[in-house]
Amino acid sequence: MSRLIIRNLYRTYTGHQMALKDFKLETKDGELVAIVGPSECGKSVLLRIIAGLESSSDGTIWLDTQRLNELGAKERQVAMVFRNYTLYPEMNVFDNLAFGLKLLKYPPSQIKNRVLELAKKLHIENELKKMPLDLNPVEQFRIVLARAFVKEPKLLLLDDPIAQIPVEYKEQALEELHRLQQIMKVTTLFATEHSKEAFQIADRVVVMKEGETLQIGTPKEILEMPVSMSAAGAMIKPIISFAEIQIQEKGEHLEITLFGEPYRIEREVEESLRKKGYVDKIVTVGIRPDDLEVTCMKESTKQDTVGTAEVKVIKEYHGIQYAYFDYNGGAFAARIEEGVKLSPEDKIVICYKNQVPLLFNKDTGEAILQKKL
Amino acid sequence: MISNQILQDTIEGIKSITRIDLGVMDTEGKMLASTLKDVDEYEKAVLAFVDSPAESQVLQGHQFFKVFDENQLEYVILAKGETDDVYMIGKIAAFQIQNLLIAYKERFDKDNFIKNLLLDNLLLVDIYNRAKKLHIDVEARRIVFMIETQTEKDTNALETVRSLFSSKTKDFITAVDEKSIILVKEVKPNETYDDMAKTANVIVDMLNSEAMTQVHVAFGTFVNEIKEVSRSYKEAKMALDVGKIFYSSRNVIAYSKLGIGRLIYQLPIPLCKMFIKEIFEGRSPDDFDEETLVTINKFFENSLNVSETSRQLYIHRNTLVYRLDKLQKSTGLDLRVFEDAITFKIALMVVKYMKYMETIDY
Repeated sequence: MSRLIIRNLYRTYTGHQMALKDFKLETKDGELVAIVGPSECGKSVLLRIIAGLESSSDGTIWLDTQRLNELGAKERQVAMVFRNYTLYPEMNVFDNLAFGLKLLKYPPSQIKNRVLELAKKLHIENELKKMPLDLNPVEQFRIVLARAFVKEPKLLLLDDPIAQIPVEYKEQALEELHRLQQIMKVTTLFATEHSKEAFQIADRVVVMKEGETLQIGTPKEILEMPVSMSAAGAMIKPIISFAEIQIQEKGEHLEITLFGEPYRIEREVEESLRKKGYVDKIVTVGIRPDDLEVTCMKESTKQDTVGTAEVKVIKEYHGIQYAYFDYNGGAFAARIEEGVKLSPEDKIVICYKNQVPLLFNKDTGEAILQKKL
Repeated sequence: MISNQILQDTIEGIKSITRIDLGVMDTEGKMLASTLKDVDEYEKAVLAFVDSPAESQVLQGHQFFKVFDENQLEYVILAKGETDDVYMIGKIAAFQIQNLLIAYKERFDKDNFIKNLLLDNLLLVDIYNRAKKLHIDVEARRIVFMIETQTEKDTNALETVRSLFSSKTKDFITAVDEKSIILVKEVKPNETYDDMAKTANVIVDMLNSEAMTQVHVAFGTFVNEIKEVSRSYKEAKMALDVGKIFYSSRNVIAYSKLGIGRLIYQLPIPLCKMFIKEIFEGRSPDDFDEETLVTINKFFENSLNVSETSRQLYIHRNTLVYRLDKLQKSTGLDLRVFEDAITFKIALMVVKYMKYMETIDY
């Protein structure tokens, strides 16, 4: 169990834009932090710098009381699993686990003890004699993780390790990763392109784009309170749509119109909007697929509302069906509730059902309602 | 030829099964590996045994055995105890080490052959004769990978690569210099360069995480005959070089995908110098500041799109236009014009190449 403290980390390549800009992070003991962003956002570079496989241009990295910057990769007590991992094909699971320790020149008796102890802890004793080819992708992945844990690292770095696992096993592999991390309680950084993976298992999430940190927070904070349009766009899947609307004064309240229906803004939100001078101004509202409820027009009772559209396509994302449709020149997606049957070209009625809308300043893209994190 | 570590592992293994202490000595009485204590006291007895014609002998409560390599005495094995059981175990140990010698020799011969093959040290007729003797298929489809580690003589890296590919005895792993490991891999007829890139990425990621060293991996093209293996090796070597010069952020470089770098790498230096003088009129692109270089590279990355580039650089469109104008004033090249842009791009690559050649001249 260890704490990782990174301060003002930079990485530049000559003649190129920065790969990493002023990265800061402080982890708790045994925390699982996901780093999420599209490819080339700087997450791999970050992990490689922490591991000592690449040098930083500026900044410091501490693991507990030890400064890592000057240490070689082998002295950092950091274990890594990368995207293209594999097990040694000719060795059984025991030898696969022992191999790294052999390279580190541990005496055979100690290697044996460590491997057996770990196997017991992770409940994989029965797999020690198996060959890699006899294991399914999730079991193989478990051994790869065990191979990292057997070095007793203070910090575990995972660079998109789920990427090469077949789709049907991904979910299970992710759960396994979470389970083992909980047993071992090793502080872990987990880089991924998929926000869903991060939300599923991480204690906290770092959202990155083009080398910059957009937001750090718990999955809940990021889902409910993205700090900017780009953070929202990066994290909310399959898509988040943005529409420009006016905040209107209606009697004593503030109102916005979404999909033809007036929508009264909550008291708390209203105060903050008034304070910041957004009354009668145009703002951007972020609409998540989960914010919308769609029903087939035939079944709906509200035939005459203006919030109607035609389904363009139905797409599945991580096992959930989404209906895509155009409304007022913008493209939207809505989650289809279980039991609702929709097909392309169906007429639908759209209803916005979120309590607190995601509002952004339309010029800066920053969230208007920000909880200080 | 066999490392002492292997000898030690072997006798420790036999001891753990039989509980009999063993030792391996060379012909001068020096202990190479042992589970016995007080190893020095056997020296005289061993020297006497070496000189005697006997194949085995009992001395000082120990049994002695000889291990030969093609009629040349190589090792003396000691087994503690005088009983028949001990005699049998000692004999087995001697037999085991004798066979290890043969196996190692074969591997060494193969290794030697592959090294000479890569370096073009063999006559064509020798290639076929020796390959046949060593049971190496002459008409298999193969490719050469070159793995360069950051530190010299990285034994951990070599061990890791061996373990990744050892299952296929048809693959050869060797080294011709201190810094790189060479993998001659047999590939199936349906495997493509994409598969090879995947293999290369596995090598990179495994060496990163297991041997904890930074590596670059390059590979040549497929060859169908053993005499062409050296060509694939030379291609891999060149790809590694070209990658280092032009594509420094990539860890995996394929000879089949070198792009313009392939052309520039072949240019004679005087020609490069002339070209650069013509473009920059005596100035060096090093004189450009960091900001200008970042701007230029980003502009190229975005296919000369002004608005996209300014967005990505977080600057106003007019700032970018101003920077491009300034560059045009100093070089006469307007990067917004395709022809000027390509000249500039090539000039930057030529400069990189010239710089690299300067560093290796010494």
